[in-house]
Amino acid sequence: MNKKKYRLSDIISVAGLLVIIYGFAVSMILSPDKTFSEDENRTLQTFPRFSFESLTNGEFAEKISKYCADQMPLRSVFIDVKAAAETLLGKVENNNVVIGNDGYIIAKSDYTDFTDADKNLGAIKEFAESNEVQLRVAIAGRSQDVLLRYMPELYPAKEVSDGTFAHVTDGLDGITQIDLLEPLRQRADEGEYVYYRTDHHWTTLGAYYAYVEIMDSYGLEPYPLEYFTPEVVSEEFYGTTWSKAGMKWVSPDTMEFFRFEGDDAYVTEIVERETSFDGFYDRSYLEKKDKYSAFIGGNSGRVRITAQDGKERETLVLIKDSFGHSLAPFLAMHFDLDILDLRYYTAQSVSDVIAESGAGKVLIIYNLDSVLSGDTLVQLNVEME
Amino acid sequence: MVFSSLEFLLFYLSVTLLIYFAVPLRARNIVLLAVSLFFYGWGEPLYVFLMIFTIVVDYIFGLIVERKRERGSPKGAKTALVAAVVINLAILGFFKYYNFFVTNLRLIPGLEWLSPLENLELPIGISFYTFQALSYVIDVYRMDTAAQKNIASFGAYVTLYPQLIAGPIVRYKDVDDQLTSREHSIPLFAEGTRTFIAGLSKKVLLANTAGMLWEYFRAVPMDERTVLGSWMGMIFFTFQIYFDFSGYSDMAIGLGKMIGFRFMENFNYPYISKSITEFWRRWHISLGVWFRDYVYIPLGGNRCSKLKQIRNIFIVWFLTGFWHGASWNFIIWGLYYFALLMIEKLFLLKKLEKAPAFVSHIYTLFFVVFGWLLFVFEDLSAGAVYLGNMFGVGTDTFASGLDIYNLVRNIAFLAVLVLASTPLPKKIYAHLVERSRAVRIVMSVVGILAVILSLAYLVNSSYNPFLYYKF
Repeated sequence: MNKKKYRLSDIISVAGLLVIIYGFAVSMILSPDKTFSEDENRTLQTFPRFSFESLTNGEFAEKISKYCADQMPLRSVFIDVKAAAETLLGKVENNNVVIGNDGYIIAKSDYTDFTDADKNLGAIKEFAESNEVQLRVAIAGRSQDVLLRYMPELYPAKEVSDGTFAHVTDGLDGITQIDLLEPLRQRADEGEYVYYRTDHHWTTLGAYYAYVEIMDSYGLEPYPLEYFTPEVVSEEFYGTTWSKAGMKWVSPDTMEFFRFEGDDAYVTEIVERETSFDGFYDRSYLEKKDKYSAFIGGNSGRVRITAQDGKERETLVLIKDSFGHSLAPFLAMHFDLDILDLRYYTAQSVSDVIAESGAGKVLIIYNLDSVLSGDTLVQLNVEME
Repeated sequence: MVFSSLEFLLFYLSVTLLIYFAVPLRARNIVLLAVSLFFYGWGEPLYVFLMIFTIVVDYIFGLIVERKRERGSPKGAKTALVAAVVINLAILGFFKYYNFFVTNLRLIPGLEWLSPLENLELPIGISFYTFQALSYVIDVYRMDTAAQKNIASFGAYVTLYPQLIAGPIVRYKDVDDQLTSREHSIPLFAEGTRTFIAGLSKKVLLANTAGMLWEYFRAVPMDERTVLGSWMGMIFFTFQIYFDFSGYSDMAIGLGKMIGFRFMENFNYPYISKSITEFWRRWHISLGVWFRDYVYIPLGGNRCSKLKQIRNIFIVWFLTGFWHGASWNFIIWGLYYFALLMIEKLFLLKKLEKAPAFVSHIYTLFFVVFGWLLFVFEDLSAGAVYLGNMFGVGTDTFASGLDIYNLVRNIAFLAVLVLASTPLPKKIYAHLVERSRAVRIVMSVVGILAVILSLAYLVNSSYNPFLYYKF
């Protein structure tokens, strides 16, 4: 064949396409399968096992499809490219994460389906009626609720947020609620760093302000901010919002622990793992992506935090999602804490735990997102054998 | 398997091209049949046998029809033809329409005992390949073509993976010659690559993205619907369906060219039409041609009394609607176009020709958008509610803050959609490419970049962080 008769543009089209498809196909097959994505915190699909049954019921085809997507070479580059393309087109958001002001990226949802929320709220009410305890409920705002100042100018953040919040607070009518929304909004408005820029959690400072509100509600004196010495434990914290957004150009967050005199004398006990450590922090997580799990060792069903000074203290049962993790050290200065995470804890019913610990106070601290999706609070009233 | 998936692009396409071009010319149809059956069986492991059955039946009937013709027995040929048509339509009727008929017949007193078959799933692409198989037997009967003696070649025609699932619907007589000998060349392959890339980009970058916006607006809770939001939703759907379908057709045409087939164009910028009549000449052309050749003209077409002609048009549009799906909304959608086309035929078309262009454009798009509303809501009452929302019924808000936010942030994307619906980009491309070699090269590189961008969108759509916090 005489190559000269072909147009270079034709050669580029053909060769370009072929190089792409063969290049990716071969490198996908040759490179060993990755089993876990730290960025996404989930296991990845590896090459599926073949069986006649899985072929005929379509399972094999489905898994191959997932395999291709999960094991695609340069996967994270592709994800960045898409985020960049969406941004360049002026879409302001990608994968439901908006590009806010001052380096904030904020996960958001516009419309809310209250099906799960109504189950959760009903469960809280039922719990309040059937248990003789002093119950307080504190709902923490999502980033989109609190960081109004950082949301895109055109986005009607307050309207969207207030409507959703009102449904929840109305649904808890008759229960003592601690408002964490307005105080934190105000702090955020004043430019304080109360929620992470790349993660959906509040910062340690944000958790401190929540602690102040909770203490007020109990009629107790909180420790002043000056009492603590912030220790910067990471300046390279890339949170969940960052993982979701694919906007790799965003700068990382700074994570702090608020240290104080004698905080090492407390003991955090992870009940179902039968382990414990001194202080409130599992520093091994600081080396990983999931740094927020350093607070009280991350997600686990039941955690107890006690002071080792021998003094009798009141026990508080804290029913929480992960927003409770960075809050717990502050509360631990006043109470022995028995902390339950209803997403993981199934060993005993909540009322049995309360009876066992002899607690008179129960505090539910949930992020609005956890109230809206997933009906984990239904566990409050589930009786165990 | 769809073309716009990673497994198709990276594995199926790469492997099949390799095998196809590695084997000698005379074995290529067999390879094509085998890989097409694999393509089909991948998504429909059991229904692939139904397809093989269709191939065998129509192959045999093609031969019978031809033999009867040769032996001077037109009556025998006709009987064989009728038998073939009945078998093909019976298969289509059973798999696609059985449950529809049963569900509706049950409403008649005395027929409540009928029960729908719960596990009856629609075989993918059956509406397309049945029509192709039918066109073969009919073409043979009409002596437009000779019967295909080679079952592998015939099988390759019916299963041809590029257009198996969503067309264009190829008439046998159009590809008869290509089945026996076709051109395999780098320029044609390159042309196919470019058409394929254009289709891939339309599907992945435009249709999927517009589709997500449509889903967003459709999912707005009843009490938060607005007039503007409902319109935006419908407009994004209007773009989604066009870029989805025409993108898929382009991919099919492009893949066809890579292996030497030339299929007819299926779309010709339908949204620039100035009348509904024109719209249907530009939308899903291969289906229109099929109905014209195999239904309308055999019924007498327009060479008969006015009344019969109206009857013929009615039948065609009833069937066009029903072909799109076994549901009342599709029938209504078809008849809606029957009504519009009749009105245009009677007087409106002449008026439209004299009217200023923008009036005809707005008129056409307006009715096309309403057509899509009928099309997309299989649940007629949900469609009626949505229609109401578009005109302020059931909502008292014209535009919410969220609508404005969404409009502004999608305005550039909307502009891309509008522009891509017109022939302008292609014209500019053709103009530039003719002039300069450098531009041709640049455009080829742009095409390759478009593939990479499409891959990025495909990978991201699977990007599914299980966020540890949850919560």
